[in-house]
Amino acid sequence: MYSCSPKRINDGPKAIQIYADRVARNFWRSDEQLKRDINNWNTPACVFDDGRPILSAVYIGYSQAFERKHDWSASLSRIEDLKKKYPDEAFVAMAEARYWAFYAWDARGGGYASSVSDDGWQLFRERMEKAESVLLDTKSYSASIPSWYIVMIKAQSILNHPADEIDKVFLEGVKRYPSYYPIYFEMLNFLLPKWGGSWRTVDNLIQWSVEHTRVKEGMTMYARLYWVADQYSDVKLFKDTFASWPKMKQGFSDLMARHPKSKWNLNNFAKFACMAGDKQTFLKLRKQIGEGVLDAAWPQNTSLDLCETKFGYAE
Amino acid sequence: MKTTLAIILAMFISAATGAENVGTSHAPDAAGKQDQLIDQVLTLSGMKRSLQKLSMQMAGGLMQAAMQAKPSENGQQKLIKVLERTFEPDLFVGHISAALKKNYSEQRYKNVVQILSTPLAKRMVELEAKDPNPEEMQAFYAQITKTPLSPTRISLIQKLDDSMQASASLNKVAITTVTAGALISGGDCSKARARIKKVIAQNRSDIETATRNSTQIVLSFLYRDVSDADLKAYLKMTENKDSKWMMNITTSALLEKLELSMEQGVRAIAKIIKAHAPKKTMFAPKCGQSMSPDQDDDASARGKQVTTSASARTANSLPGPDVDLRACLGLATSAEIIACAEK
Repeated sequence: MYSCSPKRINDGPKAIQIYADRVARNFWRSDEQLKRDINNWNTPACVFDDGRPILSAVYIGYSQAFERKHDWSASLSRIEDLKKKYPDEAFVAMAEARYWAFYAWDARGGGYASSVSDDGWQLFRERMEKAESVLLDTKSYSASIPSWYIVMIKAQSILNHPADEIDKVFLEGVKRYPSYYPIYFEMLNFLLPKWGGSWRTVDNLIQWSVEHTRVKEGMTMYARLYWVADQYSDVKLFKDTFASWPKMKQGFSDLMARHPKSKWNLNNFAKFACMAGDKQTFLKLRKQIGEGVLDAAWPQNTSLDLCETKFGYAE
Repeated sequence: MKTTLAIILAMFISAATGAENVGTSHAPDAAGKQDQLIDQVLTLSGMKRSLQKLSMQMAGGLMQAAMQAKPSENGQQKLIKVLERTFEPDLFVGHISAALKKNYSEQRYKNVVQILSTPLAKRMVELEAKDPNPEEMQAFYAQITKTPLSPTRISLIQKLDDSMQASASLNKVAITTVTAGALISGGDCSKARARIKKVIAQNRSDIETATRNSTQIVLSFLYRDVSDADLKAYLKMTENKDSKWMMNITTSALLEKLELSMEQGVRAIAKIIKAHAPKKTMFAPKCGQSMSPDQDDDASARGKQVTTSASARTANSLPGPDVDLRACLGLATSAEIIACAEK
């Protein structure tokens, strides 16, 4: 497991950030290393301590590479150079697709849809179509990187492809990479109420995902996906959605059994126990956490202090 | 609401007659003359214009509900055609004309024309023809919240409402429209459709209360510059037995036509949506599944809440001008439409 993850910090968002930094840096400085890293990480066994694939850092890393340079021509020119040097290489095709998708958002901006000009929409669409066509044109080799399916689901949903087409992309992706969680995360995002879906739709996806990964993953997918649903939306998870704490608890237990070293998972397990009002579980987990508190796991509205006070935790 | 109210009001105006003598003479050999007289009644009363608006609004409401299914461009064109055909304004006018013709009474209609020609009736038609400005309505509501209308005024408005059957008719229009829109949103799922009907039935009395309150606010607004004395005179006209006779004919004809058109519209739309709506994700709620936890079969509990708030209003109070059930049709899901209708 560690042959592909030589870093000291190997758990939670910090670990992903370190690897994303590495991708961003090597995109500009060392394409050989970038290629080596991505090939090295592109295996189901290459995961952080929390079980998430290290390869997921590439998606963020590419965005950061373009964002930090903030020179779209220079970024594109770099991609063109890489294409010449590495024809038919997945890591380059993914960089190009990511570039167009990221560049599309630059045209649209981050404001409300009503604030975007007609020209902005036009450019947004054109660039997103470009991202999609890069993915389709290079699929024979670029889909060897699982994030192909993530960018594709994102592009097709933005381009308003029919939902059943997006289902097909998702199904193909998870059939090929059943343990690559970010594909499930992206599909969940597409189905959220804020984009026209519903919590029932999200729950149906989660139930389906659990069933299709149960043999290997137990109930972990239930915990992971409702965890992501909580991150992606501003709702009370156990009130506004169909999330079931007993199932989520089982999911976290399965997760801890598979990734016992992860403090990140443990902290989040405790956080959700607090959110669900499960005193006994919270206190038990809090004891397990000991000094290993990860601040990033405890947002303001569910701060550790708050939970400790609520359940009368004393060290 | 305002257009529906206008049509009900227009119906009343058309039915209002100050004449006490009831003519029963019939002129079977003068069909042209009959048509002319009926047309005169419909035009002078403003009913023709209101029927055109109403039919367009009904079609618009159903189109909005149908659009939630995101039909293709081709599907949208088909929807427009079907709705134009089903809600062709002339069909409504024709239906009411036919009802008036079936119950033709030259003397009564002449009396109606006579009434419509009085300055008070003309003024009322003019007032009712105006589209109420929402901002003015809000300002009016704020004003009467601060300084309530006099008990005499409230009593006059309530009597007018009862006499014109405005709330009762509007309620039927609202329920028919909301049901139609919600049934479209329910799609193929018979469980969802049954649930929609059940929820609407459960909340019928609350919807009635809300409609009555909102109708009376609109009436107060429309007649805000009419003196109590004129309103009294107007009330007297509405209570005339000929007025009521004619109003019953036109109201039942309109509601009958509306129900029929809605049924036809829903059937046609469902067919088009089935053929032209994009396929849903495989994870979309299955038939009978609610969209979110708060929509799980708790309609009765939520209904109770509505009942409480509606019945909390005193008989002499008038609610805000924000209740238009057709606005619910713009919502994304059948569940949201139901929840909105409940409110």
